[in-house]
Amino acid sequence: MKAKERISLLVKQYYESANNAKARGEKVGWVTSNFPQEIIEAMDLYVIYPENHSATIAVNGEDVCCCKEAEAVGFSNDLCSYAKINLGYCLNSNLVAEKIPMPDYLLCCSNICHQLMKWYKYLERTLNIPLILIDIPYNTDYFTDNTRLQYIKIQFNEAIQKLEGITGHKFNENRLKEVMQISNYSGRLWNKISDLLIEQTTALRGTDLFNYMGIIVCQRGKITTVEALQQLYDEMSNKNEKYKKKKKEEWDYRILYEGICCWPALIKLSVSLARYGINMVGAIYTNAYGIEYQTFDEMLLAYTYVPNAVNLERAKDMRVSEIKKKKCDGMLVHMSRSCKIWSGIMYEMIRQIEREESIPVVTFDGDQADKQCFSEAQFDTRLQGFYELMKEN
Amino acid sequence: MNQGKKVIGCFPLYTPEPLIYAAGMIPFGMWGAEMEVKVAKNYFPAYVCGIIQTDFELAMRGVFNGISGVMITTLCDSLKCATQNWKYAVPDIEIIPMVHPQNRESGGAFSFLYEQYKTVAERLETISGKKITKESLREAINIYNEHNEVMRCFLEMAGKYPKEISPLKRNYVIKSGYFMDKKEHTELVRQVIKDLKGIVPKRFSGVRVVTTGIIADSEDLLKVFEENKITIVADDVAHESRQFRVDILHENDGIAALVRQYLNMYACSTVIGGKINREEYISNLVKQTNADGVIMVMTKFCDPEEYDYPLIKEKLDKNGIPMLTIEVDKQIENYEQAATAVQTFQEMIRL
Repeated sequence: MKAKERISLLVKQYYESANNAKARGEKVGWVTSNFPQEIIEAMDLYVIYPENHSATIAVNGEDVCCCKEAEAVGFSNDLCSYAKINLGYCLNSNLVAEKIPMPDYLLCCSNICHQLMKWYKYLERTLNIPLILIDIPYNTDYFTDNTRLQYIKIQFNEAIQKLEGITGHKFNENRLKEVMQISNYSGRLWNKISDLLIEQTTALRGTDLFNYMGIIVCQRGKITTVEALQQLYDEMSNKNEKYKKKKKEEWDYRILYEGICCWPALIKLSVSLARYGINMVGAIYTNAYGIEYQTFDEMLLAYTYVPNAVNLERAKDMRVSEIKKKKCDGMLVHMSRSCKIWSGIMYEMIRQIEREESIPVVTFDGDQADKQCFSEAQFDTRLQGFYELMKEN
Repeated sequence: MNQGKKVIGCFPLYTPEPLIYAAGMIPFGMWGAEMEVKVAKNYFPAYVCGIIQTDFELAMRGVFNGISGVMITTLCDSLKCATQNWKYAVPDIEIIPMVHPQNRESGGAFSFLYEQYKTVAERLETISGKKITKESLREAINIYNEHNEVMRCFLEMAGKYPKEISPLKRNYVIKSGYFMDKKEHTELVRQVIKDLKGIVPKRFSGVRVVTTGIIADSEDLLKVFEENKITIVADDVAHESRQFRVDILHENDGIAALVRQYLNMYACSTVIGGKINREEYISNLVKQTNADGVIMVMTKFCDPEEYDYPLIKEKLDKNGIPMLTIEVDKQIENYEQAATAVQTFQEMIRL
């Protein structure tokens, strides 16, 4: 089996295992994508990542009906489309093909945004189930200080205690150490795969990384993930070697993709970029899950440095370092309509990156999961303009 | 500033104002203005709320020149972005970011916020050149608690004098508090209360409502209320009652008292959790004041409020309380549509 198929299978099995667990009467949780998953894995819990599920729904073209379902009970169409799709799903699961079990408890980490807390609070209230919150406050400073680390550490332990009470599963420190090792390995492999794009001659198409994200978001603490990613890495590097020997034509342009993936237009994005000979060699969104650390404190720190939790200077440096590392010719920015925390600092960040790197930057309007916000015509025009700018640069 | 005092601008929603006061400076409320946004568009996409956009517009146009600093909280995603953009959009006015914990039930929340307030206090001391002493903080806390009490008393009185205190006048009394010394404001409001007590309220046959939302200070909208014989008997508006709702309990350590005040807050869209849910709180407020209905003044693009809306609506529907939602944007120039909605709402209640 090829790595790609293996990863798809693991994602499928992961959904099945949660459904089966629920059917057996086990408790299933819903969790936000940057919650310290080490706790979950170390306690052997069954969880579902609704953001990932919403993205799948968007890719399957079932986003609009779910959003409308949520809007019908009063949710504004301005709200996060991941949230709206999930809330629509809660109201009517028959709208979508890929079913997930309803939760018995909720795990929310605030390091992504404020909206997530409001979304999960609503679920807590309406489903009448416990919510465990780990608050990782937005950091207006460049570095995470000890005060913040202590606050997170206390909550980490509180979350474990609460989870033991809810699920009956016991927390085991040795198992946590093992999971940390596995997760770290997964993160490192994910980054190594992404770094294969550093090479000028590469067989890897960066947009494919979006398709593999499911496994690194939802299962990075599992040994099966390490095996699958190792296989993917081996396959890709072998392919690269052969590619280099044949001296195949290189990509014309290498770009950094900025912003959340525009899931409803992923195929369009991938096809359009290839048509112009453009390879997406870096993306902050995919990088967000290549979490590496050594110690327990470093693990917690890593969760404070995820994209939406950091200040503008650190956020900008993350982009600049990726642009330099991957030798990008331009930056294509997805202004995601319903992700305010991401889009709200983008104008200033673009100016700073343009100044520092002297590369063309072009934006297009879209949304992570609501196709109504994406205009094909605007995207085509902007991409053409972007291509022309890179040609001239 | 004319009195030689330094001024610190305070963004929504909860800044530790007594610290500013204790450092010998004057807090100044920055809740936006009704105006067209032009230059601020260089920093924010159109879907960020008008309060933040117009605060930036005013600052970038130089309206706030002369103030010594601005405190911006991170109580929603757009405010987080504001803390970052400010540094580049308005480099001449120092920013003091204010980060609050949201897991207020956690054993770690107190220490985290205590350290944040301590850092903020140090920054304020540097700006003012004056130390915040135990005494000055205690005095500031007293002034704020007194102001809270007087404002709560006024708001209760306003509900009983609908003819004398129109929705617009009610708002003037509240809003003026953001632009003057709290001590002076307390005295003025006390005088208003005294004057009201001296007269017998005129008979009122209109509609009595509870308002809720982030801000409801549009003169045109409040005039529409008055024209339709609508009076505000109580509110759950962030710019209004939410500011006066929770007192600062007295304790030896003033900063600890301020921390506990935040940890005790409840029924606010931007602060997670609390002893009572917001829809429950609003519903109770309607019962306590015998109001005829609720008007939700929804600030456009305010996601915390937008998330609360379905539960508020469901609760009020269930309890048979009429509710009207009016979307406001600092850039809306005419309220014709809102006027029609308000008229229909009051007619429906009177039926």
